[in-house]
Amino acid sequence: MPTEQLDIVGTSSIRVDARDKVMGKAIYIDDIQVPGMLHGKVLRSRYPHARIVRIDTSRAEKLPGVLGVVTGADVPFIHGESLLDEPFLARDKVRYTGEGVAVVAAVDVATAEHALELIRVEYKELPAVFDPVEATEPGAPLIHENVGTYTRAASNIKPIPGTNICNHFQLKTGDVEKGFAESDYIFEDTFTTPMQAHCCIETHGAIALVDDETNITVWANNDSPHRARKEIASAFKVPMTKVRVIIAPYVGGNFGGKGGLKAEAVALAIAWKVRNRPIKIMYTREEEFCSTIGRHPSVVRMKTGVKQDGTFVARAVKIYLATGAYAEKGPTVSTFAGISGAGPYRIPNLSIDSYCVYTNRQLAGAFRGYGGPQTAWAYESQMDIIAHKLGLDPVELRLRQVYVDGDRHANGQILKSEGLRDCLVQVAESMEWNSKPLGKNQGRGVALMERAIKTPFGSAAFVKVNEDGTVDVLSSTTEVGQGSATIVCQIVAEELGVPMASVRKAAPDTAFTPYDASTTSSRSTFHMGNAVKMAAADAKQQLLALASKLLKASPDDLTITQGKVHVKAMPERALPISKVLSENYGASGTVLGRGYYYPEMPEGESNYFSRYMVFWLLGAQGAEVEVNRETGEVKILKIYAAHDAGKAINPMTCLDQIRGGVTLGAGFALSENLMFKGGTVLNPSFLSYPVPSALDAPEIEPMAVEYAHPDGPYGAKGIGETTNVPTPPAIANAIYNAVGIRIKDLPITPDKVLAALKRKDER
Amino acid sequence: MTLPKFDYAEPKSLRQASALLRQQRGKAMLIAGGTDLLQALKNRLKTPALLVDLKNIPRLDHISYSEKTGLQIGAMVSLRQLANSAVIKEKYPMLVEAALAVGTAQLQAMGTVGGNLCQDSLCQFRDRSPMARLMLEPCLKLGGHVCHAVSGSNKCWANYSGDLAPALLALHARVTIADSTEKKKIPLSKLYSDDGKRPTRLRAGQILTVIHVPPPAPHSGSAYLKLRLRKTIDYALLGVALYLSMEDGDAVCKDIALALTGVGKAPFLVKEAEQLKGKQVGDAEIAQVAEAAFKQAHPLSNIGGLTPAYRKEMVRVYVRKAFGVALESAGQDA
Amino acid sequence: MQKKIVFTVNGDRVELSVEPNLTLLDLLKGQLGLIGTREGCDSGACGACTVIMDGAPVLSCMTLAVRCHNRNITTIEGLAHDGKLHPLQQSAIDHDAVQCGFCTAGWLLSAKVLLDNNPTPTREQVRTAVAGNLCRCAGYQRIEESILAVAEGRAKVQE
Ligand SMILES: Cc1cc2nc3c(=O)[nH]c(=O)nc-3n(C[C@H](O)[C@H](O)[C@H](O)COP(=O)(O)OP(=O)(O)OC[C@H]3O[C@@H](n4cnc5c(N)ncnc54)[C@H](O)[C@@H]3O)c2cc1C
Ligand code: FES
Ligand code: FES
Repeated sequence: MPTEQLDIVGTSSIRVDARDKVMGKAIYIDDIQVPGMLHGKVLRSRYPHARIVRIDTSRAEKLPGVLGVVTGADVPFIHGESLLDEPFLARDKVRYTGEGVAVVAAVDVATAEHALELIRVEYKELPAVFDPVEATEPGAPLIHENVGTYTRAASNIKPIPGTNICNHFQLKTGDVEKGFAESDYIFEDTFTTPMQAHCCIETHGAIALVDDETNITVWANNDSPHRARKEIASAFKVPMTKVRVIIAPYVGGNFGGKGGLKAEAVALAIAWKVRNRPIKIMYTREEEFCSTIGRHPSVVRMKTGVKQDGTFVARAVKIYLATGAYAEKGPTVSTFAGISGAGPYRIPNLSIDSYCVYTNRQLAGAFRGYGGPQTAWAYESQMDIIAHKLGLDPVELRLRQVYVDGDRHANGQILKSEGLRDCLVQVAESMEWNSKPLGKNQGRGVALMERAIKTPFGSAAFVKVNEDGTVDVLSSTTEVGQGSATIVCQIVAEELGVPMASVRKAAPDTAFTPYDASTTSSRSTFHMGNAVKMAAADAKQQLLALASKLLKASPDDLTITQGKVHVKAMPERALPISKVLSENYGASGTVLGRGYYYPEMPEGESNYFSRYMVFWLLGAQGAEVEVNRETGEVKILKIYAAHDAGKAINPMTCLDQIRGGVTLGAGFALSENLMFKGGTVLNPSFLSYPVPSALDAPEIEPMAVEYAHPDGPYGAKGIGETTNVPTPPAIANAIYNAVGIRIKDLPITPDKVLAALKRKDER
Repeated sequence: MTLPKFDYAEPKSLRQASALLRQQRGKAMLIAGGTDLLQALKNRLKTPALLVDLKNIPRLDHISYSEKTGLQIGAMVSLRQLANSAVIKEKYPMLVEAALAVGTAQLQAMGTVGGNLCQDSLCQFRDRSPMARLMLEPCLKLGGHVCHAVSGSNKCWANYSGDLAPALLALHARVTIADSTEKKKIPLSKLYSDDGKRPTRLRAGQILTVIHVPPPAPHSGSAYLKLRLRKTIDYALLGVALYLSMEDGDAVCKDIALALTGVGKAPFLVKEAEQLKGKQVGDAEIAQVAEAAFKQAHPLSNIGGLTPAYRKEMVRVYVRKAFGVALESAGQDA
Repeated sequence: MQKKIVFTVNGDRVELSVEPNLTLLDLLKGQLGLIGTREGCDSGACGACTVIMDGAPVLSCMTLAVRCHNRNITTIEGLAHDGKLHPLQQSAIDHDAVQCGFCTAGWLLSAKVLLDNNPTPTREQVRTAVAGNLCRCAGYQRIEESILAVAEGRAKVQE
């Protein structure tokens, strides 16, 4: 572990972007205007599953101010991240209510909206299926007839031909049947979760421009420019040099929702037809709810065999994730759900099947937690069911079973840097688990979580030292509110020896900022952190070499502090970086450092969402609640949340990631539910979909556990993405502790609680 | 969604306003705070040719009170203004509670008392953009033939969810309705139609101008309790307003009124509550009134995330709670 | 039918003609270049578009521009003066009350109205004042802290 003295890393530097944001100067996608820009609007399907018989766009095309209308027939291209299955606009058939069918480009939004009313589409309805378990049954309507022949990103994406299953992930260890036979108790429960909506306060938006020579430029609020660029280039069959993705300087929230092609896809569709004009499409709030992605609704069946003393013997888990009409990131979400499906516990015999299932609904994709919330809801709820049945303390039982360094994970990997136990101990201590008295109808509960991290994927960075000694960091990590820009600057400032104020990170642009796999999966601090650290070290080495003859010392004896190169032992023998550059290069002084981090992998592992994890996301939470027996309302008294950061590069922003995640998790626990009637979303607005407000957010005690990772920058690993994961089961367990009812279907709304209390009283 | 095109007029008198409304018969609409209306316009639920703004009409934003005649609230008084009024805070705390239960601070600053009373009813099958509405057959409220909330119904069941109406109903409010020729004062309960399609009975040209609330009786108490998922933003999934006054020095009820919102096509008074007049208010009596309210409530699954059965069940609980609060405040009001 | 309006934005007098169906939000962002006001829902439910009109917090997405005649409007761009941040802005930075920043302008203006009318609010009053400003990054605790710190005249707080 690094023991060096750190000046900037590990301190709560204020965010580099905060000033622009509080002044209203930050530029988001909606603020970007490109000369000659048109506005696009999308006509959407009114059926969950139907053949498109005919589309008549002639009247719309004639409307003054309309420059073009595009339908699926004009853009016969397919995109998709793990499975190529999604057209840019529906062709032949629509697969969900809200799917894009046509796009209009017009001089202004009002004209485009008007034109939509003039398009006639004739549909022939097909039988639809909405429930993920039903969709796997024989005879269910097939949503994709050719799933078996779709192009896959890698061979470990496993659709089952002739079904609605677009990925079947399996993980088996030991012999579960034998394990169940040897068990004293068998627990079998089914848990479900609904669709949660991302609800970034900024909606999706994109501006697309395609010129006569198929040069494609896209301005967007996408989380992963290089991934988008590759997806676009391969869909339109053009070389990557012809595609440029420019990310807006600021992005108003992400949570996984702004990856892949959303508004980008429809903007590209129309730009492909209406050439040489930039066309902007900003999604409405309603489109956000109906036509982007949400969290996979799930059904998780969990069967667990334990010994009388609480030792776990076997567990069989069946996970059904409803991915909606297109696979999107579903296959890899189901992979992550599967890998950690049995929980972070030592269980010798395991059988995990995780199915990613097409349904005729709005898509599901990446969303904070990525397969974690669904499985943790199941394994952590059942953990307490087991503890209660055996008369064991829930914390005690978890402490006995939880993975520690040296254990072999269900995926076969020997674990290192496993700080989960520490997280639980901290939570139990701060909530005074065994000692603090609670009032009537009050209860407490804990829950743990483990989640995989996208492995193995690379991140590259350049550190550009300018003539005046200031530093530009070129990195494609997207700042979406998580604080990555600040952390990247901190690491560069630390490594290079310059003040924070002289480091700047610009927004990504695939024409300039080097490759990065994605800003997802809580991978940036670890991967991009390593990359910028290397790039800064590289730049520093070059500067020291340049300074060496000026300061008459070997580079090894030099270092940089506060922007000055000096002899280590003699800080007064110093030269500002600017001087070092000008003395060597005259007016043209610059140094370019580069870094590329790609994790070291064991032999034979897949190079696309491998089972081996470069690190794990780990955390524990405790909840204290009070249940109103008359109304069924659950009041969260407090949430205690400890997550393993490895090393908190910025403790302040790190804790805010925990607070934000817990609030999102509490919403998922108690109220959030995107409701459908058939294929139609019933509550597509902030009025009807209850995003928690300041008055609803719980009190939170966040804790960053620092269980260092040998390969992380300064020991750091990721933290932000999964801080919402343990919240719902911790709350459910606390409710059980308070009033003895067990809710297995999220959200835990007062009507469900009251009904359960009644059933209990009747018994 | 952009707003549809319309003309805009800001008359300086009621007479002018009413005349404009009449001239354009059915094609002109009033705008007060606009917070309810603009949602409907953006969603093309309404497409008036002319908006008639009430903001320049004198005295509509006044609040006045006298011990004899009670309270007069102009229709253009904002909810924020109402909640900040010293006299209303002192004399009619329930009105402040109800105003502060509306939406958010911003909506309270913009929304008016008149607009709140005259707001449209809600239905999640209808309140969406034309694009999203396309996903459903047009319903009765939009001139279609189906009701998505109650299948087979030939009546519209859109839910009235305003917060001020129940409080004012319970306080025996009357409202002045003006048109270009006359003004009349009617009990507030007569304003509502029990038709989901058009919750108020106002005809073209009619304007609600003033709300009159009699002075509170001595030893009176009140409560407004609102059920919703979040503590803000949300409309009422149920609202219970109770006003009562007690005989001097004993536990006998002198006057009482109970009104509900959020559980039907209109806000309504629970008449059975009046049977408590002249009686001692004990648990049995309260249970009886709660039962009557329960029976009158018709929540449907056309708004909100809680089951109708639960909302109906909560009528009993909330009425009971409201009695608790109101009786206590009546007791303190010596 | 365009209508002429005269009003004040951040101390500047503005005179122009607008269509009746133009919202204040579109006027500010589209015509006056005041991009700091954000659109989150365009239907009155998120508060991202909050501005101050004659001392009250209003939703610019639900306000017709024609109705702003003779009104005095403050947007987020009017909070700082000559590059000097309003204490609420400085406190938001110091307390890390800003994550993605999309809700920030809205709640800062809600908070300004609160403190202008009630310089010493309780935590509950602060929460109520910003309850109409949804933050999905959910910096609510930080937002409250940052506002309370200004009210209580406290100095910087660091973790
Ligand atoms: C996000 C959101 C949340 C909301 N939450 C609530 C809530 O919790 N509780 C609640 O009660 N409301 C709620 N509302 C609705 C609305 O904001 C309030 O009801 C508000 O008080 C309406 O007043 P207004 O002046 O803005 O009405 P306007 O929109 O101006 O008018 C509403 C209707 O009444 C008519 N009208 C207005 N004034 C008169 C008059 N004097 N005479 C005759 N007709 C008139 C108008 O023509 C229009 O049809 C919410 C709205 C939004 C957008
Ligand atoms: S944009 Fe105005 S309230 Fe959401
Ligand atoms: S900071 Fe992102 S929504 Fe509040």
